[in-house]
Amino acid sequence: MSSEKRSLGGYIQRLVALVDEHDPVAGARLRQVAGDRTALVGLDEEWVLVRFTAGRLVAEPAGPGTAATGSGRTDRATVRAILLGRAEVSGAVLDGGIHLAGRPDDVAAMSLVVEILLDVSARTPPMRVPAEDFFVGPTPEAVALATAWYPAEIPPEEKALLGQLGLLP
Amino acid sequence: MLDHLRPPTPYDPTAPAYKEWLHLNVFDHASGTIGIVNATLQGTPDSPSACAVGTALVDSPGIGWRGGLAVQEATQAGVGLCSIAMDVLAIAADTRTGAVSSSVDLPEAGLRCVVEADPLGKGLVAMAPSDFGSGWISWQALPRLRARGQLGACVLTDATAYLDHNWGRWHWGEAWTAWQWGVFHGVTSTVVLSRLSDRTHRRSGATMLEVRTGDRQRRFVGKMVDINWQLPMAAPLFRVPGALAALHPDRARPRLPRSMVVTAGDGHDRIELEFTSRSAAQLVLADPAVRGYSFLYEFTGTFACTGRLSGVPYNDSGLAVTERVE
Repeated sequence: MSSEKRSLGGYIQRLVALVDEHDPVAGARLRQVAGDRTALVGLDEEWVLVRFTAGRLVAEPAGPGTAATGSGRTDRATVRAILLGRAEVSGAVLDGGIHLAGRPDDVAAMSLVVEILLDVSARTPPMRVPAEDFFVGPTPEAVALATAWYPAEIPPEEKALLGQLGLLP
Repeated sequence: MLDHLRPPTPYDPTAPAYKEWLHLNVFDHASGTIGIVNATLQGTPDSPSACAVGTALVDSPGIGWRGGLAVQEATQAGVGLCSIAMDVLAIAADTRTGAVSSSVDLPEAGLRCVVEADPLGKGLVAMAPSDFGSGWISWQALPRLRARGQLGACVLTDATAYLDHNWGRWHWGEAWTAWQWGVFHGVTSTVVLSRLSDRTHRRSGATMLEVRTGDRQRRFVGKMVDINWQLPMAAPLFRVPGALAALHPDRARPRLPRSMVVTAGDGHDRIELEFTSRSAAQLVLADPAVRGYSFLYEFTGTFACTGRLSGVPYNDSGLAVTERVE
């Protein structure tokens, strides 16, 4: 893989290009959601500033303090663990493996952009190749429980109420 | 003996909904290790969105799950008379003898498997095409084979296997694209269970439970079969593929069943079977043609059953895999 494709900016550009090629409607939706926002994306020690300008994706090298509408930071180990089913996104956010910053609407927009990319990838096998090449690394350890917001067990009273209402499967 | 793969013809208007797979379960009765290997083709064969999906999961007592799921373009997979070969996973069956071979190489997931198996006994378990979603599904199975080889670090010493072949036309995520299924390998018998349903599992479709022990074989259908799942199960859930699991955080902590009780009878023959879950995995199934997702839960565990077949008392126990699709 060339150094261009190995860069975070190159990887993001490659993903969006595949979306535009295989699902133009989703590509238009990406641009609609992003609007005129800018996103500072950090992976390990690399930072890029991402935005759409006149419909074209611009991803240029940046620093951790570069001003942007919203920012997101993670590391390859966290991403690999998620891709291999060894960690959950919610647990990664709670444990600090994924850090998002910005106003609520801007953080929601960044999350929606990621969701659109994941959804399109389900119907676009070529989108998996860049991810497999970009996130190489050691195999994560065995399944790690996601950090829980709520206890896994429910009280007997709740279970009884659900049963009375016919809501238990 | 076995049917061949049935890809769509070039002008089949239902081709976008095409799905077909070979599915292999391996039970190592000495160690309790259970392997699940699946090779699936879906979508119009020559379309850019058509894909081959390979899934390999091995659950070992005290260790848990190893494995994962790989996807590649369907045009890059090798498809034979009754074989699907991807870069990292392959399953092949001899349609004449029923011999099966499978290989898995998922270094990212830390799993390598090589399995060969030969059928025990005669005859297939088969179900006629049934309505399923906006289309239909059909399947047949070799219920019991003698297996040898290796599942990850487990060298098979006393192992049996099960192979089935499913094909049809539907889109994942449609209302009536769910099932409950199980294969149970005891010391002397094999039980295969199948029930199609809606995704809430409140309305049932075609249902079948078949028991084979020695020279006795008995099938129960429809309302002869009663299935009850009992909650809850407290065990971590292994979700693959990770990218699609991240898209569905609402499915990260479902209420999983700790056991399933199946009873079947016709007034003369009967069987009561209880399956106890050990581990659970969730496969997020994405449709390649339309935006739709289903969630397939694989449960490994043990079972015990009693009953009477052809007037003769029957009981057995062993390893099993069950599935529940939502």
